[in-house]
Amino acid sequence: MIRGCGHLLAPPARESGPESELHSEESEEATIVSRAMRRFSALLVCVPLLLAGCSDGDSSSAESKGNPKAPPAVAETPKITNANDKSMPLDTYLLNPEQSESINNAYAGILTDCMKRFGFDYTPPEAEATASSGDAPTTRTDGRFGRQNAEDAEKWGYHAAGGVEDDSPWGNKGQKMTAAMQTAERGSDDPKQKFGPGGQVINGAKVPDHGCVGEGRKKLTGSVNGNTGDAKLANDLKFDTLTKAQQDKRTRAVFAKWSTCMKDKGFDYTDPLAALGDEEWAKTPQPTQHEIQVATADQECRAKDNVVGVWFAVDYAYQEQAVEQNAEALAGVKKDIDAMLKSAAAAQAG
Amino acid sequence: MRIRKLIAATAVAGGALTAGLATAAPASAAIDFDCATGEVCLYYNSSSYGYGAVYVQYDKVPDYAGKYFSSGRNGSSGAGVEVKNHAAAVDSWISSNFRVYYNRGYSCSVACQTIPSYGTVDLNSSLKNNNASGQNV
Repeated sequence: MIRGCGHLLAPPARESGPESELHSEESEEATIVSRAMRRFSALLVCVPLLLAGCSDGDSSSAESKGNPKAPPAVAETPKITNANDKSMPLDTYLLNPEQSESINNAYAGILTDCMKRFGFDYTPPEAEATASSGDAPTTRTDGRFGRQNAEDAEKWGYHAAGGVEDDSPWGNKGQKMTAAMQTAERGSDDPKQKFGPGGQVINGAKVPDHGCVGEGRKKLTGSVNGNTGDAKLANDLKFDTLTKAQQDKRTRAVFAKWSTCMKDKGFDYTDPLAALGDEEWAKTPQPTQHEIQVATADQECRAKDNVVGVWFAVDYAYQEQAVEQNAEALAGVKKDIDAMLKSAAAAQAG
Repeated sequence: MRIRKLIAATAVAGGALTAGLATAAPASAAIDFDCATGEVCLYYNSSSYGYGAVYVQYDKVPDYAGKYFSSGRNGSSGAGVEVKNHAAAVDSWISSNFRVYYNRGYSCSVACQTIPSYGTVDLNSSLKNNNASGQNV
């Protein structure tokens, strides 16, 4: 129910912004007017809800009975400061870092070998080493709850652990792609077209449909148009549950406690996402003393009110609900992931 | 003016709804490529709304603040708008994954979306107004 009130609570930097479907034609001024109007009308709806959300304490159970749209009940709330070691219901249906890496490696290997058939020395851009990301989950790519490690906060503030935030090139920048290379890579004679049906003969070998990219996709997914990444459904559900959990009144209640705790320490933020996304942190390549103070206070306030525990439990419940409601389609997603991993392993072995 | 437009849009949408749900969703427009090999294009609009203005990325970008969309082959809608928190679609022309992050500095401590090599993908609506950085992975 509290959905749609988020932009009132979130700081301007993170507000959901213009409805993208319409924002294309908006002028700056008009946007501000319509935002203000939307804010006002949303206020009328949301304020009573927020007040109710603040006053009715722990009313999480039994809300979802008989109504699939109602917030799901939370089974138990763990007392934790870090959920990175806890798996979540949707993890199974999204590629985790290790799975992504094996698929990426297989894909890069297939492309490199394929291009070699046409006489080209070709290197796909190298993936960034994930080691610099600090404390992170292993069963999923997304942390979901922001920084959850006091040592990282004390050392790096809100900056990436390791301080690697450069704008360096992809990694194969020096590689010159000739017209013939592009034909082999994507199956089209026209470099302006992304893909073509192939059939050209280069170095005595015939270019496959969609070129070497098509060959990589086909080997991994069975189709030249196949998706080597996360399934759309799983990706949509991960963001949908992320937003719902952020806006849920049980989460907002613990965020409110966190905000009070931060205020007591002299910092003014609505919620942990606002602290994390503060534009101030972008101004320096390394964290400032102030940033480290805020990040440290953030960790202390998270621990004091079990912010991560509550947030995680609510998020988990939404994910569980999403998995139940999409069981059949997600079973298909899982099957596709398993098949792709098997193909990746075979390609690597071959 | 904006409000009138909104009302008109609502009326049209309402008309479409009464005319039949099946036709209410706009068809995805085919993209007119702005990118060339080795590049990644970020668009102001999603596929359903014709992509619009483009930001061409050749390198990793740790913060989309201060980067702006420009008119391209898919029109000028969104030209001049900052890329940060305003990208709706990605058209990749690189042979590795590309990742768009909810937070700056390539941080997936909240969330990120991975675009497969040479993929053309709409960003999820939650990320669409929260894209902060992007790199190949």
